[in-house]
Order: sequence, then C-alpha cells, then structure tokens
Amino acid sequence: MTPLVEIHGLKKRYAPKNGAGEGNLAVKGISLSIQKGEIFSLLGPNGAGKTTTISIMSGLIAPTEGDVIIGGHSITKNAVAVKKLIGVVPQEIALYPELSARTNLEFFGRLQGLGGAALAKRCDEVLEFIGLRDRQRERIDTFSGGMKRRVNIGVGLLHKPTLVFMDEPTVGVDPQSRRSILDAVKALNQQGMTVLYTTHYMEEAEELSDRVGIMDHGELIALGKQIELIQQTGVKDAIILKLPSEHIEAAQTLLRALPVISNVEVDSDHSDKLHLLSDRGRQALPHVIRALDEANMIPTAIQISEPNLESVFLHLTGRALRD
Amino acid sequence: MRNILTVAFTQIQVQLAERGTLITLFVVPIIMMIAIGTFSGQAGISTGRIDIIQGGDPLAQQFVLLLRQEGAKEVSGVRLFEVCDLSAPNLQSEVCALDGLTEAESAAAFATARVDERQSLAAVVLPATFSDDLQAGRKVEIGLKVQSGSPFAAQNVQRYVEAVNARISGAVIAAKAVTELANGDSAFYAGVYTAAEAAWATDPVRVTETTSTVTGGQSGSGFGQSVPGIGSMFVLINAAALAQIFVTERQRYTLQRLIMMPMPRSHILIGKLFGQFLLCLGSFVVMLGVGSLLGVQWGDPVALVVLVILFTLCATALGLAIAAVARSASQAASIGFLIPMVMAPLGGAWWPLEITPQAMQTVARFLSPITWSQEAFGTLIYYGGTLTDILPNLAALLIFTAVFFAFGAWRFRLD
Ligand SMILES: Nc1ncnc2c1ncn2[C@@H]1O[C@H](COP(=O)(O)OP(=O)(O)O)[C@@H](O)[C@H]1O
Ligand SMILES: [Mg+2]
Repeated sequence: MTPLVEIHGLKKRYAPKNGAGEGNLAVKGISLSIQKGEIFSLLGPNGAGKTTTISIMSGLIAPTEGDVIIGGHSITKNAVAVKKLIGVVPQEIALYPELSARTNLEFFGRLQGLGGAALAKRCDEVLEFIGLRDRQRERIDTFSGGMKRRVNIGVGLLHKPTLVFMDEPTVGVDPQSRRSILDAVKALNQQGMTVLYTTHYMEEAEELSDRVGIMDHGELIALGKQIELIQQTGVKDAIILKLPSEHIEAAQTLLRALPVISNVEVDSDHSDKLHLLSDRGRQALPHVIRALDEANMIPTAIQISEPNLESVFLHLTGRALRD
Repeated sequence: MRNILTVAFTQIQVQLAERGTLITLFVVPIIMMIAIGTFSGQAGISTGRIDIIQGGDPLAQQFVLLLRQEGAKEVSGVRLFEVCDLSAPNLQSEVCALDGLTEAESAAAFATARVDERQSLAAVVLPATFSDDLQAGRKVEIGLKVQSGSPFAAQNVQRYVEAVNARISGAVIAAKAVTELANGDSAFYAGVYTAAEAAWATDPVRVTETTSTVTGGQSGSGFGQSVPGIGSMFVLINAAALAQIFVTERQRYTLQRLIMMPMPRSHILIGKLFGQFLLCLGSFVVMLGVGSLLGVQWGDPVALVVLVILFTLCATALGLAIAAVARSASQAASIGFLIPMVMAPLGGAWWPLEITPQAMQTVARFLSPITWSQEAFGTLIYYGGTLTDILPNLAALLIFTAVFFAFGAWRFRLD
C-alpha cells in the first residue's frame, strides 16, 4: 500500500537575517512516510525543526530542497490539491479575536469549501466535539487559553480532512484541557483520521503514537515504533541520583569506576543530578548506594527509570528532551 | 470568486467589530469636516476677483456692468466672482482691496501682478477706444490674463468675458447693420442697439451652459471644500490601514492560516483589497451623505459616482503599496498616517489649493492624488461640471492607481 504521506529529502534554509551570511538550515534533509490510519508523532525539543516541517507540509512555506507527496499530490506542484486533504492545527492560536467562536469556524469552513446547511451542521458537530457549543457566540478574546486551543483545533477539523497536522496542541494549557485534547486525538484517529502530531513531551508521543520520529537540530535521528527504537538504540535502565552539588564531581568519578555502571553524566539542566546508565538498574542500585556510603556521600533522592523515548533521546544526543 | 468575497466580508466584519476602526471610519472624519467647514465658511472657496481696466467710454461701462451681473450669480451660496474696475478704484467694493493701487503704479501692471500672485482670477484690459472701434467695425483687442494654476477657473473666466463681449459686439454689429439700412439715423441706432442687446440678454443658450446644472445652494460654501477634502484624507488613512492589517494578521497567525486554506494566494490578496475598498467606499459615502445634510450639492451624479469609486480605488492601491514597504506594526502605522497627512494638505484637502504658491500646486499634481480629486469635486460642486469636465482628473487618478498598484504588486509578499 502506498503511504498517505511521503517526505523526500526535505530541507529548509531560512533567509538570512539582515540579508547577511547563510540563513539557518532548520531542516536538514528529512525523509519518512506515514501510513493511512496512523498516529505519527514528531518528537523533539524546541527548535528541532518540527514546526518548519509542518509548515512546508501545509504549503505555508516552500522547501529549499526535496518534496512532500500527500495523497499522490506534490505540495510544491499542486498545493491546492494537498490543502484540500489536510487539516492544520497550528502551534499558534490562529483565530480572529474580535469574532465569535462560531463566526471563526464559519469563515474558515467556507474557505475550505463548505457552505449552507452542510457548514452549519459541521460547525455544530465541531463545537460539540470541542465542548464549546454553549459559548459559540462569544468572542474569542473572552476565552481562556485552553478554550482558544480547542477552537484552534476545531478549525482544522471542519472539513473532515483525511489527514490532520497538530503542532504542539497542548502547549500552555491546563492538565484537564490537555487530557481532553489527547483523548480527542485518539477519538479522531478511531474515526479513521490519520494524525501527524508534534510534541516535545515524551509522554504524549508515548501515549498516542503508533510510530515516532525523533528530531533534533533539523535532523531525523530515529524513526520507528517505540519498542523498536528502545531496542535499536540498546538503551539501558537509568538511575537518577540527586546529591549535594559539592559532591557531584567526586561521585561521578567514583561511580564511573563501578563495573555495573556503563555511563555517568551530569544532567544538563540540574547540576545536582547524575544520570547513570546500566543494563540492569535494579541489580546495580545496591552497588551504587554502597559505593556512595563508603565515600560519605548521601543521595537526597534516587529514581530508577526504565527505557523510554526520553532515554532514547538522551542516548542519541547526550541531552535531556525537556528544557 | 466565492473565496474572495468570503475573505473580503470577514475582513470588513473584523474591522467593524473594533471600536477604534469605527472611530476613524466615521466619527473623526465627520467631526473634522464639520469643524473645518464651519470655521472656513468664508475662506472655503472665496469669491474670486476679476480686475478690469477700461477707458470710461459707454460700451466699456456696459461691459463692466454685464460682467458684474455674471459675477453676481451665486452657486452653492457663493458669488461666482467680483468685478473690480481699476479705472475707478474709489467706487469698488472692499473685496477688491484696491488700497494698494497707488498713482505711481500703472493700473495694468497692478492687475497683472495680482494675477501672477494669484490674488485675482483674471485681468481684463479694454482698449481706450473700445466703443469707437466697435462702432467703426474695427478689430478690437481685449487683453485677458488668467491664472495659470487652475485651468478650469481660467477657462470659465474666459468664457464669461467672451460671452459679455459677444453680447456687446453682437448688439453693435446688429445695430450697425440695421442702421446702415436706415441711412445712419443715430437715434434709430441707439434704439436698435438697446433692443439687440436686450435680445442677447434673454437668449437662454448663452452663459447658462456653465452654471445650468447647479441651482444655488443655501450655506454649503465651506463644506463644499471641507467635506470632500477631509473625506478623501480619511479614505487614504483608512485604506492605508491595510498595511497594519497584514502585519497584525501575520502576528496573529491568521494570515498563515489563510495561506493554508485550499485556494491560490492571490485570492487572499484580492479579497483583502476588495474588503478594504468596500469599507473605505462605505465610509466615504456616509461622509458625502453628511455633506449633503450640510447643504453641499454634489452636482452631476454620474460624475460623482465615478469620481468617488476611482478615488477609493486609488486609495486602496496606495494601501497596498504601503503594505509592501511596511515591515512592522509601528512602521505600518506611521507610514500609513504620514503619507495621507502629507498628501492631504498638499492636494488641497485642508484649504483651497488656489491660495497656495504656484510651485507647490505644480508639485502637488505629481505627488498627491487628492489634488486631482479635490479639483474634480470643486468642478462638480462649484462650476456644475459634468463627467467630461473632470475626465483629465479621472485620468490622473487612474495613473496614480496604476503606479501604486504596480509598485505594491511588485514588492508585496504575502508570507
Ligand atoms: N521564520 C524563521 N526564520 C528564521 N529562522 C527560523 C524561522 N522559524 C524558525 N526558525 C528557526 O528554525 C529552527 C527550527 O524552528 P522550528 O521549526 O520552529 O522548531 P520546533 O517547532 O521544533 O520548535 C529554529 O532554530 C528556529 O529558530
Ligand atoms: Mg514548533
């Protein structure tokens, strides 16, 4: 079966600021494909190039090199045909604050080719789906952040697209709204919608996705099912230790010498945390405690984590995913 | 087409939802045009002066009298012009301001200077032998010097002078011809002359051609200047808001969302231009309507409609040109305000262009479309002009529109 989405050697170099020098190469040659019916997540820290990739796929900006084929149409050659198939939920709230939720939906619905009774019906359905039916006549600028996010999502769903792009739809919302957004994504997928979801939250990618692409600095550094990624990278259990800062350096040297520990790194954001990698974390823990105890260093917190996408990212980049 | 209209109407809807826009669309312009129109009531379009120098012979006196009658006709509450007879400075009205006419200066030089300094519309010099020459059937040369900056006014003055001249010389010729047949009886001649001259006076075809479409207004003199002037200025300001709209929509990401919709980018641009055009047109129509309430008579409706639409189109094109150069919200706001605020006074929106120096008027023709629209409005309001009379103005507006649009289309980037 031919995939619904094929990305071929996609590159994007932004125009240089002030016209001087080379522009930022935000996407450095990405290739991947997405099957119909999948939830595919692009996982990566801020600045990885996720939004740039989505913007090219939505026909907002032109790629510097490469192409995206969606439903058999090239985004560079027949953008309008591609745009008919896709619904986009941009990272930014893209709504007219002076207009009501319903008027916003109606406006973008018309531009997506809906009209008359069909438009009214779809607006009702979408408002129901995003839980804002009773506030549909109120202006967007009176809404909370979470409500705006929901309308922002609703606009992308109006014309029942085959494929929907959601660019970090949970950024800046309260936990409840976040929960309902994640549930909505799953519900849409169950109705048969293919979803391309970007996030920098490992848990979201883990919960939602059939397959994951991990991006960093404009490159796709890993691609596949979660379990495959963990096996491929051979990541190990992680032991995370919190110690008084003055002991960190000594502890690092000490623990590196232990045969059960394969690597020790200081957390890039917290200088009082050590990340230890081991093939079998539980068995290694007593050795670690004993060694520290003998050196009179008492950890203030200890945590064992089994391999997940976070540790895959850590393994591949040497950095934590979260800021 | 459907998409273009959808974009246009939503654009209007968004702007009307903002109180600030409503204020610049309607409230401020109406207050300003009333204020300026009221305070400049007399100064609005002032009654022009025609200086005349003559030898005091009977037909020359008659000439002055007839020209004065023409000038006394009122259009929109303003006398057409005042005739100042420099041969009898003490007997002239105050409007003539002849105190400066000293003995040392010849009246002809004085009159010429006043025309050059745009203090009077025209100078007419009748030869001292006016009556004799006419009666003897000799060629009569009437000196006529008119202001160069306002071709329409000049053309009209010329017409009035020629009409009066035709009336007098026509009567003379008729009287002479008939008297010759009656063997030169001078009393008979006088009788025929009077009858012939009176016949000319009742001739309906004559001078009426320039005033027939206007039936004198009540009070509108200052408003006839301020309503179209301030109105056009605000149409420019409101059209220039396009630049801000593009910047804000880019910041709000709605522009990006529009680009992601399944339609060519040109539809977005055309839709937004059309929306702004309609909004400006609507506000202009309301302003002109207020002008009507204030007593302004707009003259030929066809010409008015064409003029208003073309000017609004020109303003919209200017808005696009500004949008093409403005990179930030503050740039869009300042350029979008500055340009109309320069074009308006330059083009005679704040005061009649006739009172500004000649050089400035010439410059204004190249820099400000308002120069042309304001002149056209004047032609329609004060001189009863029709579509044909304002064709040169419409052509100039069309050129401005084309230049602004070409520049905008060349430089503007939607993304
Ligand atoms: N319009 C732009 N011009 C120049 N550089 C940009 C632009 N947009 C994004 N970038 C840069 O490209 C890189 C990728 O950004 P982005 O695609 O937004 O990443 P992500 O969505 O993964 O956070 C970043 O370094 C960002 O600063
Ligand atoms: Mg992003």
